[in-house]
Amino acid sequence: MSKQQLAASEQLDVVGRKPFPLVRALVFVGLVLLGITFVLPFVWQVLISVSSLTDVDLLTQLGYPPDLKPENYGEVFEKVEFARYFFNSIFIAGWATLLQVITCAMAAYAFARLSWPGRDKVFFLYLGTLMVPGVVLMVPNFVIVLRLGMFNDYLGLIIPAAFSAYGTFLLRQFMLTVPSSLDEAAAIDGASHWRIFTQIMLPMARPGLIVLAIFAFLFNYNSFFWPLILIKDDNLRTLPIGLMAFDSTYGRDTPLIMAGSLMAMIPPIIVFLVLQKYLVKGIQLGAVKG
Amino acid sequence: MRWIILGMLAFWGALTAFAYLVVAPDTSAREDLVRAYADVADRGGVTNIPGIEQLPQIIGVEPGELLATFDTMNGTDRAAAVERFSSSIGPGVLESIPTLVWSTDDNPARDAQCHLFRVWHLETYGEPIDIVTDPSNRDITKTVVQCVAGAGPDLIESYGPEQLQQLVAAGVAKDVTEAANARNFGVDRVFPTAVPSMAIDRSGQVRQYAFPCNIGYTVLFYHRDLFQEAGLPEPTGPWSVAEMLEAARVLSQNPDSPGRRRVGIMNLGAWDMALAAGASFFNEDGTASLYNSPEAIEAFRAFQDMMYVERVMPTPAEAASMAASGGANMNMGAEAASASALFASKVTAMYVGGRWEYVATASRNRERALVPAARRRIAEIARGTEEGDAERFPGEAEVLQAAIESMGNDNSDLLRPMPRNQIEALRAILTDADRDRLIDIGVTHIPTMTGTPWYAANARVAMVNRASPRAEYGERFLEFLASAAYNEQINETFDSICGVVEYCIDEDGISGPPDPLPGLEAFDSQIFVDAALLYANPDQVSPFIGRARQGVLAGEVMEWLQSRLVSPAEAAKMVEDRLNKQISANLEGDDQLRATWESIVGVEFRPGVNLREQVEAAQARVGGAS
Amino acid sequence: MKVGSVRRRTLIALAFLLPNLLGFLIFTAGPIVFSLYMSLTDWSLTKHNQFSDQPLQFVGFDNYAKILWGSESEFFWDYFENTLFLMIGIPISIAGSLVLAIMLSTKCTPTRLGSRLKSALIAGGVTVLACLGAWLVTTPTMDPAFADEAARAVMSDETGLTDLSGFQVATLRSHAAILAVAVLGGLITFGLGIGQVFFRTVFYLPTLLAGVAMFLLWKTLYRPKGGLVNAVLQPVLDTLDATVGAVPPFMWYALGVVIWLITLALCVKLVLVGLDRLKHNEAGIAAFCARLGIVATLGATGWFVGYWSAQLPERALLPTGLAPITAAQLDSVSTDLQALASGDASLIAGAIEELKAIAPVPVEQTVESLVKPATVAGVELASLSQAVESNAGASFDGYTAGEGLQAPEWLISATWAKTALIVMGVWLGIGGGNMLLYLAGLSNIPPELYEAASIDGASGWQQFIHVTWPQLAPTTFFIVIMSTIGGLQGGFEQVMIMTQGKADTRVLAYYQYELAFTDQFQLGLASAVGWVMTGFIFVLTAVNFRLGSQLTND
Repeated sequence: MSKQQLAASEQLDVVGRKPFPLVRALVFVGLVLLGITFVLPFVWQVLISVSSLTDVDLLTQLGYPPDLKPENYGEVFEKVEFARYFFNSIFIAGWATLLQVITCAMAAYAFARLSWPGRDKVFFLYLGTLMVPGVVLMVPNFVIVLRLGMFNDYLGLIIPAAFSAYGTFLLRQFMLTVPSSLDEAAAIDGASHWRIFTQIMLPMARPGLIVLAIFAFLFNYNSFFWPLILIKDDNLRTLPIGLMAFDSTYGRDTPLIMAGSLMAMIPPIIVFLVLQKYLVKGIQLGAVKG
Repeated sequence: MRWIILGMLAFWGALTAFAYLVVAPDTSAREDLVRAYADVADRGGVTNIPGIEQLPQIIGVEPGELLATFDTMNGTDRAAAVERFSSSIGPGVLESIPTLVWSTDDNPARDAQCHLFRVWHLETYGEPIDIVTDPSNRDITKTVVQCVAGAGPDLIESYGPEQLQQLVAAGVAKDVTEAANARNFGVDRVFPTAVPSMAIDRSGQVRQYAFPCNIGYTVLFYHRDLFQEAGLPEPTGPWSVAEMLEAARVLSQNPDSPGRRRVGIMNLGAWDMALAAGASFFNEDGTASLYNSPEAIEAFRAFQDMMYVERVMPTPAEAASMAASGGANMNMGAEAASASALFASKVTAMYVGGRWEYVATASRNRERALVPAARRRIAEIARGTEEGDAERFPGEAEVLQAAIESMGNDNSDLLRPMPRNQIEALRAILTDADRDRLIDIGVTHIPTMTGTPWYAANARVAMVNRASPRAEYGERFLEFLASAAYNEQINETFDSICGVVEYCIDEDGISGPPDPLPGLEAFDSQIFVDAALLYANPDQVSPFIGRARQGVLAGEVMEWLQSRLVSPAEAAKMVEDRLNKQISANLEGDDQLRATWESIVGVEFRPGVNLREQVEAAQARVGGAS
Repeated sequence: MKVGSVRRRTLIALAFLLPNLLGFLIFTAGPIVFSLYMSLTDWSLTKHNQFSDQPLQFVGFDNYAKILWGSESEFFWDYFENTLFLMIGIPISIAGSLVLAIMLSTKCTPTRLGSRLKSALIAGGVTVLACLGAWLVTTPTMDPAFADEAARAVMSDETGLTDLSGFQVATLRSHAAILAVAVLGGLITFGLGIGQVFFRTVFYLPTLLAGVAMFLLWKTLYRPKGGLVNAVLQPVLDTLDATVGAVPPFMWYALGVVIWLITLALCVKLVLVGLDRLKHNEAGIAAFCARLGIVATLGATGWFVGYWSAQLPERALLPTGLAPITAAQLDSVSTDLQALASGDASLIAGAIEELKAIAPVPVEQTVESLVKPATVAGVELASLSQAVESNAGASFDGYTAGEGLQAPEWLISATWAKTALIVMGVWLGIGGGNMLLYLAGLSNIPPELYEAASIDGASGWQQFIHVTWPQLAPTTFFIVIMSTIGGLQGGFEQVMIMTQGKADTRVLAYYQYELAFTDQFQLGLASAVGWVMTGFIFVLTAVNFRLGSQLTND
């Protein structure tokens, strides 16, 4: 694709042409209005996070905290091992995301592009497991992880999260939309499956991979019940569990919870911002078509 | 591309190494052990423990200041001291000390209690032990899942008779009856109301499975100054709901801004009101619910009227609006704990709460009145020009400065013993304006329909996991729970009151030193002991219905009652019918359960027939026969 | 691709599949098979664990019978209904995600760096000026020393909680106003300067915070008085009340019914037209499914609006917070009520006058309906006396409901709690993963298709129907399946944190949890509930799949 073409395609939107100024203005106003409904609760959260505990009640009446307490943010680090929880969460979610994207992409390739006996049956089995609610699986899962010696260990949080029927399903759907003429041509040229997978399939399905990476990271980063049950040591705790120390039987320190969870949002926002750049590249790649 | 992948792998590898080598290893455990040694050495009681002799040399001060010095060291020095101590008692010894895991709530006082246990164990048994807490503050799920798979904590916490029975039935709890008899931590030492939470009566033979950590119940707090302003006599003894209402009506008028009202009372529970009036969820052996009684209806009516007719108590909507951040976890509902915040702001004149709310109230008094007053007085003394500026006793300024430091600025600072002379000095300088800003709390009995006090009180207990390889140490922990050191600490830190009766009865009040801060003297009131000793009742349990289900069935009716969707009479009948229906369903579904039921009642269970009628008919026949 | 022998192809496939399959078998399939077996037994933690190993009783389908029509059925179906109710939010959320994704794919901001910076600078400048303006307009100018005394009483009257001076309060409110202007201006500035990426991130924020903190935040937002939601809603309702407050209650019911009828008619019409087109091969099954989705969304929205309006009179009929009435007045009310019941015309007229003096709004309407049929008077009396009773006290400083139309009590009202959860769910889900999937899906549509369509002269809507929607079909298929599954399984944490199961909000996942971990540890029964849910999900997915495979091949 030449530079001119790229510039031209940037001017186009999904409906294929440059929309009328009025439409553009309306869409922009709509985005801003929707943006307000999305941002307002967070502005509120920020206000709570810099209030003192006794002032939280007054916030709606006053609209602004009487005494600003930005030191709440420091207090979160002082009162619990917040930095440690931060590291643990990022570490666990990072590993789980990496492994999950790799295993799921490979499996999705097998389901979407290879033809082998029993493929659809196995795929339905995968799909079927998505339908079973998780609450009762907690006990058998815990027993298995315990027997594998992963109790109270990073491994117990990373390894079970490295495989996902959901991710396989998602990537299979994405790979199905890749034109089959591409890999057929490569196969005729004598490319191996591994080559087709890494050189054609992965780049073509990049938006899908990135979407899965974002999902997987967020899911593992925010996961609550499994780490709660599996982790015993304070040193291994993750953010959602660590933050719950402020919501104890002895009082809920709402400002600290809000301050902590706002800080906890920073890594996902970074991950999202970094990855969405590639998402945009994926948009262009999708337009290249070989 | 290849380099990117290799670089990423290297990065992940480094991160993993960092995680396993730096983040995961627990370094604080050895420090805690050294603190325990230092504390023992400071007291100088036991000297034949290996390693304790070298400690003064390692830390560099004489016994008496070891712990304080160790705590104020910086990180590197402290780590070095730990290292030297570790090598002085032999390589690997400190690391191989057994560690108990105690699944408990996340009260900040647990750290101090763990330290006490380490010290107590060193002094009593002459050998070191370590203990860590594993907070599972949300619910029992974590403990259950872990226990069933065989990875549970060594010490499990439970609350109330029902949870004990379930854990015993599951076989998780170790029978400690013999050990308790031998080492004097049996049922005879605790408040009677705590016994069903720690032991089970098996046809006359009492088997003990646990020992109380503390007793949980609530009393009535009120603003003494509001009573005085309104010209009402302070309630000092037992009183009835009607008497309380008379006061609440007056108190809910706010003379400062007429037309706007104060809340008269908060957190009064309809269930407790009904039970105190003489209603009961089940008959004695739990075979049927007899809830539908005139007493229950009367109590429900009084409860509804307080919200909607007298308007001295907030309706659920009002309570939810008021409940903000004040506190409480999800099990209690935010309303319950935010009441203490509203009470402190004098929005409510009276409220039902526990002794543990001392800290929240004390921190308010500290910030609103005590510290400003002390600062002002110190400035006055320094100025020294006007009349009254002179020190009332030599060194007053220093004492006040020390008092400010003792009060600290954190909640946990309020739980440290504070010398009497500092409290006296503080009390002496308070002006009327200071007293106005002070929360001046009174404590009295919760009013009941009949006027006789009645409390629902259960114990929070610790039990030993039967599968624990350290069960022997676990038993020692229960022994520790019966010790003076632990029980006094509970009382001193206002963690409700301790389980052992003898430590609550003391000429110094419940807690002894530290005394409560000015305005909060009532937290040492005899009312707390009377409530737990004379008027307390454990939870009523039926073996034929689960407590969670009972809570769901009855809780829905309570919601309707509170929103006036059902009348008091309907509510009482609905509670009984729903419980009986569930019991019948349980009996139908479980042959073993039905057999038990039939052997107690003495007649065959008939499905589809009103359970209460069945039981009453059977009783009438037995009564007629005898 | 069918290259090589079957054996070779299978081996290659297995090599690709193996890492995932291994984990899948150990951590997913294994526990599932285990739980399926357990659902056929009386597995309970109190009976079977490492300590007291009573043999497991194989009970066949007893657990299932118990749930579906036995002693537990009442609970199960009740909670099932709640679960389905909460799923109303799903079509709304999916449609919203699609609209958002399309909006985000529309180039509505400047594309060139220069013009982006220019417009952002202008917007930023305007924002700063607006903030300055807000500061000038709202900052209190009174002499603080004077304002102090005058306004303190006002404030403590309003909240009863604090001793802030009036000057301080005005200053704080001025801060809030400036903040509001800054937020709006910031959105516009960043939107112009950064473009879609900015909005995309903003819409995705809720998903980034997901979890316990999010639910705690919404719990504070939903407080009946003092929560942000009602703080925004109440002024709107007050305006509504002021303009249409005189409408008699039956009109509100009628309005509700009319809205329902219109919605119904519209939905039926849409379906019929769609069927007609399908029959005449004017449009494929895909277009028909799109139509069904629109119908579902429309129906749900219409149903809500109708529900709302039908709720209004009940709230308007019970104004609280009027002046307190005295005990003497209360006594006279009961005399008045007796007079009403007597049916004596002169007595009634007097009684009405007296009652009006105490409770002006509700009495007139209630009494009218009350006097006519003497037989129902007894029943109505009760409700009247309640209406009067609720006026019997004044408010707890600012916390009690005021007069007129009231915003819902959200989480504590059995009528509104589920709606509250739905609204939160839509807010949470609309800009989340589904929006991303649609964005990625949109990015994969070859632009040539649009070019071809626009050469053929297709309008924007036609391009959507003929290009965008069919191209998005696999994505939609995936989203619908996953959302349905998520909807049936989900809701556990919301309910646990926000309502603790109160206000009739227990869902199946919460029920399972209660059975397994709080009520006698009946894991066998809980597993059976899980498998019944699985059955429902399976049926729904099979339907989806059938439609979907037609859709993708369309």
